[in-house]
Amino acid sequence: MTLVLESACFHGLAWRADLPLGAARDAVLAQSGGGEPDRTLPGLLRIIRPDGHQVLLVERTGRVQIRVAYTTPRHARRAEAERVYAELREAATQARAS
Amino acid sequence: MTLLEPHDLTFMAGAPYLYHCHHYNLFHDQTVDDVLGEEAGQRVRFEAARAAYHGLLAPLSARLDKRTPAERIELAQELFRATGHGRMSLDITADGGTARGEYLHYGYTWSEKYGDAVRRLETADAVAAGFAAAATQVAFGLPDGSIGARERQCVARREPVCEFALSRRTPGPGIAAPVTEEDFKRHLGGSRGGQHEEQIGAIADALQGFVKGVGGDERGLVDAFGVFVTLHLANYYDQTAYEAVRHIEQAAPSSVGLCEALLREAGHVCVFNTFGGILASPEWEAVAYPLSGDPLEIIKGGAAIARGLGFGRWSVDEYVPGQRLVMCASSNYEAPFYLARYGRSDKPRCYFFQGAALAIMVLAHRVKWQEKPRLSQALYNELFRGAGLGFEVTANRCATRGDDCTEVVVRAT
Amino acid sequence: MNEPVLAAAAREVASLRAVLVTAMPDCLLFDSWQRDTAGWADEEVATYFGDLVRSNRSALKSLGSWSSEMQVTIESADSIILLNEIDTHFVCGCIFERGAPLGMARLHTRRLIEQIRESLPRVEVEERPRAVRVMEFLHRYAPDPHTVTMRVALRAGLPLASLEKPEALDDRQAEALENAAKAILGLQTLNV
Repeated sequence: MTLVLESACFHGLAWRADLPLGAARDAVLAQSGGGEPDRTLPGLLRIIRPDGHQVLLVERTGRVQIRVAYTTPRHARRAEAERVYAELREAATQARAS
Repeated sequence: MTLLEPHDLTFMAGAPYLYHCHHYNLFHDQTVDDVLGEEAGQRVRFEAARAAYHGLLAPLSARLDKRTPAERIELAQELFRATGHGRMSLDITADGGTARGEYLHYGYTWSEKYGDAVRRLETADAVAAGFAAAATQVAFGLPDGSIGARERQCVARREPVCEFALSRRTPGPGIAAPVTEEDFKRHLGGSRGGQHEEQIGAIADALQGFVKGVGGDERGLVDAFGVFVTLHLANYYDQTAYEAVRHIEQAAPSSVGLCEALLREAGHVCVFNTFGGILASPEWEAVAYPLSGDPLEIIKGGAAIARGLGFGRWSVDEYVPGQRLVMCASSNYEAPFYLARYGRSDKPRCYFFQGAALAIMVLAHRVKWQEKPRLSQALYNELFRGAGLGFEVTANRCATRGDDCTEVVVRAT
Repeated sequence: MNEPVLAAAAREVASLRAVLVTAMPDCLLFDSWQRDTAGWADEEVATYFGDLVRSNRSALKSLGSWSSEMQVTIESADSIILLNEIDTHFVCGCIFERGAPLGMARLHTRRLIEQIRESLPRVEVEERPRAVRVMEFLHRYAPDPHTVTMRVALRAGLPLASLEKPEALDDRQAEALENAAKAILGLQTLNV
């Protein structure tokens, strides 16, 4: 399970988050804070968390991306991505247990 | 908003528009300033933005029945935010006033991209200045050229805010009217596709549907595909680019090639950052296909993305892996402007398309997509350093020259 | 100087990660030693260290408080970096573990410099044309370095070919080059 920096227009905003197969969808949905996920693009779930960070899931391939809010100072982006990733993994663990 | 469907060109209240990200926008402006110098560059960019926004805000206000200055100012501010240019507060009368910008696309993103590496002495937001001037003109029913603007403070100069002073002036002679949808239609030929048309068309349709739905957030920035984009006016790009070229043709003919090379380079910058960013995004994976490393995926993707962003109907006429790509644009946003403004050219003038086609081939063959590379500045420098490029582009046909389409050939060197 | 000299000088200092010696005024790597292989390019780091010391010297001179004893201290997240001029021709950069006491790092650095100084060659510096150094500076610091020659040519009104041999530029052309460089880098003056 890893968190890897991906391409984004601004440095340090997009991170690929590996999650256990089968639990990714529930883990991503758990980030919504009660809000509805954005499904503008078919096959893509986009959650905007209450803290402004986004989590995207490609339903067909299981790819998960964390998009750190661009207002986050550059030096704090990795730490924010790691915090969101920790919450995603925790949610994935709970999803598998239930 | 209208989509001229067979041409994949988009218009708002008759003004041609498209999407570009900040990497391209900053490089484009930088090139204009390199050619014209800071002072003339700033003036040309401001005047082009003012004319382009005047050509959008005036008909848009009329169509939406916004009659009073307050209504028109509100519309302008909302349009600016929704199109990804940032937030602008206008405190204006018919004699001018002040404008204050936050998260302005150019200044904010310049700081993000270059601020740690170089200092900037000049302000960055000629587009916002032109917008503020145009909004004032339209709000109070003044002709284009009636309001001047000066950016007094700019975050790109490490000042706390972006602030503009607007003042009334007498319009100078010879202000050209912006090129409109009707002008475009007059100068467009027949539309046609190419190889893999069905797949390219389907992806382009999905992309067009997606970008139509995105808008600026509360700060006025548009984040789509992990890329910060602006809905921007073709008149701005075309007028500034071609005025720069025409200036150097008269002032320093021996340097024309340099100017043209940098305008093509802007195409590289766009394809690498915007097209590359889209191809690497989860959105792309959902709407099209995950990248397996097959170069043809990038070639097809390039044509589809161009259409999706409103660049025109780009298509693949011929593709020999690693060797040769023939790309055709039966429509684009460069040629109709050139023809409408200057008439027929004696040489190919679709510089952006030339550079973009070459960069698509570079992206297809020199980027190891299956390794999920980061599209960093270091990778850009590695790929697009002159000698190591690996491909060259020539324009076979160009609509600015009167040909029925614009066609470029990219060959391995 | 060869590697054993630096290695011997650095051996006893457990908190020392690396030492780089930069030849001035061109900011080129002269010699280096690393305890473990680090993920950086010595040539690049040595160049930045040289530039930092030069900028520091200029700033202190403009404040009227320069002395040959000046030292640049950088405390980053994982390192303490101390930069000193050994003499007018060489700069020494010592990189310590972040946890090293600053006073001890300074003491070790002074001792290291004394040992290194003894082994440095006597140098007669050949002053290269300023235009050459300006072009090198641009390639090092300008954004989009692969386009910088074209950008300078346009801004300075000089033929591209002439910038490939900047040593042959006349005074007027060199001044135009320098003005273009300042505009591209957003600097009022160029300390090259």
